[in-house]
Amino acid sequence: MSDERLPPRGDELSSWKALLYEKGVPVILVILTLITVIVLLAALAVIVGILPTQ
Amino acid sequence: MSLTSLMPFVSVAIMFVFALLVFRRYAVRRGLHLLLWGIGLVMYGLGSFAEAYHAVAGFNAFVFRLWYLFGAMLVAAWLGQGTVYLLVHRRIGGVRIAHILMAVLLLGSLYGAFKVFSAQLDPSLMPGESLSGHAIVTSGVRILTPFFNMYGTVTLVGGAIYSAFVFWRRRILPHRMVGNILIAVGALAPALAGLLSRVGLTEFLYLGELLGAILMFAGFLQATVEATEPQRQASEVPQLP
Repeated sequence: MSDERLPPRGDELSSWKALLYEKGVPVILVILTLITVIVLLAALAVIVGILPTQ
Repeated sequence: MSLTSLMPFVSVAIMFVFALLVFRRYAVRRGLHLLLWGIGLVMYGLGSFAEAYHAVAGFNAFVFRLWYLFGAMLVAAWLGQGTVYLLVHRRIGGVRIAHILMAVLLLGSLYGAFKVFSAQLDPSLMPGESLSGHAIVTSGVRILTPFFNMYGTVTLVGGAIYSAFVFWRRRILPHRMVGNILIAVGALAPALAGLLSRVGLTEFLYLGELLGAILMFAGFLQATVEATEPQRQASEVPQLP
């Protein structure tokens, strides 16, 4: 059995914290990754001349 | 003095305290990642100091060049290089990849410094009251910046997101996971502000840098909270910071 659904070891989390941990963290990480990709694309756009340099 | 002009003063104070704590940690624990982060944070502080100086004393060519070199061009890449030293342990031909990337970054930084300090400047070309790279007239200088910033974004933000994901997936050290998320958000704030600056919204640049300073410092403090013994035993993964 995978331990992926177990609560964090060493911490006693309330149910809402556990829910935030299970569902909220991956959503936050995906959003951060998307923003990172946008920033990188913008930097590429600067290099190819679409956006002005800072 | 406007509220925007006051923000760099706060950023300077945060960054130099932040850098001091990281260097102190380096003195105790060693590790090239801490040294590189400390240097990167000093660069961040120098960039903010230049902005604060500009707000008080007006345009100064030397201070502008310091701001552009450290605050706009190099800071993200050097912070990211710290993350590379932490997370990348592979070797090519017996040489650590991190060392190879460090050598490339060092040469690139020296070339960037030469270009910035030999460039012609025209401060009348800056669109607002904030410092802006528009003052650099010489071609071939500002185009270097996105290369450094892309490397810095991939390594610093990517490294923090990766570390947070590893902590989340393994269900260990939640304070370090939160710390890394804060560091990732904090590193993205000035990057997004820079993006807005490029499309003409220069008033968000200092705000983004201040938010970045606050969030990354908060992330560092959160991530460096001492773990309990069970947490320490469960932790055998790369850690930031």
